[in-house]
Amino acid sequence: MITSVEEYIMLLKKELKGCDRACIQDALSNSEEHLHTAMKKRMEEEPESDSNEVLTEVIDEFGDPAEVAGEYRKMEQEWRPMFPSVEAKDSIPFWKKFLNIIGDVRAWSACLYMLISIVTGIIYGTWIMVLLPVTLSLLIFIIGIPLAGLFMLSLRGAALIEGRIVEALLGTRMPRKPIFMKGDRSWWAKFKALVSQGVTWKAMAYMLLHMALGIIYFTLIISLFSTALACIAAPVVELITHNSVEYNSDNLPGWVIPLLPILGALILLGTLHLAKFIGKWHGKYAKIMLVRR
Amino acid sequence: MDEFNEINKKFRKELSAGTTALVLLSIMSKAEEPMYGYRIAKELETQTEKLLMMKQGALYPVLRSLENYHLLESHVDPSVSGPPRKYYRITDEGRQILMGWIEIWRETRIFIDNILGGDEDDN
Repeated sequence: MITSVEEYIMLLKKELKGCDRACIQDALSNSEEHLHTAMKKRMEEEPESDSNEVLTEVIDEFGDPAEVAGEYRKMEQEWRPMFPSVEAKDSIPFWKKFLNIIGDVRAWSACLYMLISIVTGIIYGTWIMVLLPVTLSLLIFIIGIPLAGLFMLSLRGAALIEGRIVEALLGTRMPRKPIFMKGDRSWWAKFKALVSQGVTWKAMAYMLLHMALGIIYFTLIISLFSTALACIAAPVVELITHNSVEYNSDNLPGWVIPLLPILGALILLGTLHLAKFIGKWHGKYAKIMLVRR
Repeated sequence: MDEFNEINKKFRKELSAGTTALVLLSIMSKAEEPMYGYRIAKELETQTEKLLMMKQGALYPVLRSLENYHLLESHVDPSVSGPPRKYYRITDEGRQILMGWIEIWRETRIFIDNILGGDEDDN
């Protein structure tokens, strides 16, 4: 017989072993919140009741860990990301796989992610670089402790938002709910949990690194796209303006001009492949850094 | 006897697997304000007079699945005193899909009733 919500959560975690980490975090968070709320309401309605009996009733209505885990597994199998990736089949020739990327929404959404990373990266980085020194210096006063707690909570919030962006644009499954903390815990216990959970510090490292990564991603995408578009547009511009195309202040020979759009298209397609590849690995990296084990 | 119970339980589970999404979407379409998981479960319990065919824990994966298909949308409200709660609301797309599902459900019900000879209930 299960004697506490914590024991239930532990058993559920065991049952969910092997599932996606984000799914486990959500399942545990949902169940913990539901069971605590149900217990609290039931005890308020019938204060004389035995808490073990109430827990048994609540679990009976909610479902045992194996049942609940089964439902989550079923849902995970059915789940499809927002922008399904066009999976290239082995039977398709290489050149066709290379060209198919143009219609792959996942590649375009990865480009979008790389573009907006500069904005999110700067926001996260500035937030940490401004508030971390302030919080650390205030820790010598008593007011510093709640401020540090608020700062760490803000990191958790930002991690959740970043997770939603990653899931929507890169298709990696991320949590949809913050990590649950029991409401009846003292402020000190909540603070200690925030400090002791590795995910808080990993989220901070992710956000600091994201500032650099955001700049790299943005520069990469803008440079490659502008080169590709310049090559594609060069012959048209030459025809309209009658100015010859130059490379390092030298006019390009005439036979090169018709080849430029082909080169541009190749760079464009290559960029899309690169963006999809980076998106895939960034998704995995984000999951390691932002999701609690 | 245990074997019969097991078979009945399995049948009930299979039936509810297909209808939970319809039931949840219907509940959400009638809700005047966004609702969180526990409240939805309680609402279901009240409306079905505790004849709930599925466990409450099974509602959450379905809610998430409906959200994946953009039939529901959600937001998390942090709370100082309790846990942060995820509130769900039906989308316009969800309402349109629900109308189709209700139609399919009515056809299915008529089909099953006809096969089972359920005309006694109509009198």
